[in-house]
Amino acid sequence: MHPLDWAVVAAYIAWLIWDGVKRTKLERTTESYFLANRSMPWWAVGLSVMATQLSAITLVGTTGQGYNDGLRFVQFYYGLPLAMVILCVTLVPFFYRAKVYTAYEYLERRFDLKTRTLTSGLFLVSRAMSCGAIAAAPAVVLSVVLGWSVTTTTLVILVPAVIYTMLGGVQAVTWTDVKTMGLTVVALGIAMVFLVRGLPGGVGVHDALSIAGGTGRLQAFDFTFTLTETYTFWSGMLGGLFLMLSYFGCDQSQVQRYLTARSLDDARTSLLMSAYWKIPLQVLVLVVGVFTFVFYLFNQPPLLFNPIHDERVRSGESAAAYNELQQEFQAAFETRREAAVAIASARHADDLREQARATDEFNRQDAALRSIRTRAAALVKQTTGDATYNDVNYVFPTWITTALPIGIVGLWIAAIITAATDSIAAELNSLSTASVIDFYKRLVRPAGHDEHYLIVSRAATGLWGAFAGFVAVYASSLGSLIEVVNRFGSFFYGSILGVFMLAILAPRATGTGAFVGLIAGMSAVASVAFGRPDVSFLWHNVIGAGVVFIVGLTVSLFTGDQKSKIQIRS
Amino acid sequence: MPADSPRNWSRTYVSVIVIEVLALLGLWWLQSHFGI
Repeated sequence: MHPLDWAVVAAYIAWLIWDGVKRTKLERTTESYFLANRSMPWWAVGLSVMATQLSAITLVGTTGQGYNDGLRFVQFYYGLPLAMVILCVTLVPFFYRAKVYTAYEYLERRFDLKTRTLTSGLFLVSRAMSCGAIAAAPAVVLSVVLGWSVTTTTLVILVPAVIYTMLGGVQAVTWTDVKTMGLTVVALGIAMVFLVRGLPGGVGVHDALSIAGGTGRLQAFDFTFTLTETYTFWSGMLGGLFLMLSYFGCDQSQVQRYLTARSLDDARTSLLMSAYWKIPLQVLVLVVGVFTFVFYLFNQPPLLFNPIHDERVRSGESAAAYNELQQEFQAAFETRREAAVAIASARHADDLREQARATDEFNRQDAALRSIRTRAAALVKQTTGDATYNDVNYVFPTWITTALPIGIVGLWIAAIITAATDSIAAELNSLSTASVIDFYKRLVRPAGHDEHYLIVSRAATGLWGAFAGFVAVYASSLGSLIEVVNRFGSFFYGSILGVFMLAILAPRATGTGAFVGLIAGMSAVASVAFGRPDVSFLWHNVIGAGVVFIVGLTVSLFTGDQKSKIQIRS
Repeated sequence: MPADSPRNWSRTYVSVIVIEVLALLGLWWLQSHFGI
């Protein structure tokens, strides 16, 4: 990267830290540290909700998915707007009026201490691990792209997040989110401009869309009803609905965002911002990926997008075979490029029959080129022993660093780093809140001064940051452990939604019913996950919530107690 | 803290769903107009 790009990255990160540190003097109580004294405007909260969900993996991995599969992934979000409406009607007013700090605090008021402690503990375990994974994935990609060690890129992502979250609390997190969302949208817009400008003369946007559509990359609907496919209309509408209800309604990292809103109306409006804008934003990210695919139809792409692996195969024992593949790839690229131009020419001539024939020919050439890439990937696996090699996450970073002008490259690298940083900051803030409010203050030292809790909260943020750093740096050696914990998280996601459904929809539900239901729900999801691994994880949320609700209600009917009568109402 | 306004949220919720349907119709048009 050019020194100017480094300057852009350094200046942007320095600005984030300075702005966060500046807010230290605003944080004098735990309520301001965790909830900004419930004073944030709806638009800042709304952008923060969206930014927390948009991590570096969205920018790097989702554009890669757009490049490979097109718009198919957007179906994952089809249930989101309805989920937001349901949450605005149900959980948001309960949380807001109950004046809670954590979603799980509400469960003690409605049920009992053991239900609160179990759900909050599950949140802490799964989120702490996923926080490490959120840092590790972009750290690995950036280490390859920038040529730094994974430890360095992990520190570049984590250290700013820890500093400004420790000092500035939720205000620093929210205002950083606002800046990052602005930067991301601008960066995506600039990327689209340069991708369109990268099309050759005679090939316009309509032609690019026709070529992408001809390969199936504009397919945004798959109405097949199957439990084994993740991205279909039905899994998005139903499985996605339950996942979004769990994530935005029961996960402290999201609930804490809208608890900072200055009124219930502002909390609702901030959530509805995602309902309006999440699908268009996701389509924009995927369309950038689709146009990257079209860009590389007319501009020579590398055979392997991961430069480290490319270098290793080039200098390894398969170098001769790899060189042959390079030549084959070059010839296949030229043939495919001519086929793509033929589609555009047929479209200009308004010759539908010729356009269909050219599209068939293009798809044949594209399949031939993909087969060469598959053979190159096999050489990587043979050389490096990495059986899971996949370079989809390196496609877009390669385009950024080779096709964008000086300055804009720095802007994009800053956007990727800070997208990871601010997602981690929100996680650290919520981990600190749950550990201090649900455990330290509730179980260890209930009668401390507020200043004491503020010091403990800052220390907890730092400790969770150090833990996330450890997980991120040792992610490769902890691989199977992280996978286990992530799977464990998916068992708990739908199940905890079931507990909240019991709390709100079933006045006769009891603490014991909710606790037993939660264990039953997690066990049911674990049985499906291990017994039928082909069932998509989106359906785990539906199964978990359903089992918790049915078992919880049944147990409650046999173990009715007084607590069930104390339901938090407005 | 400002009091909650007597806002008609039902109309807002309906508008969210209507806008989602329009967005999906837009994607459907994109898929069918340029797709195979």
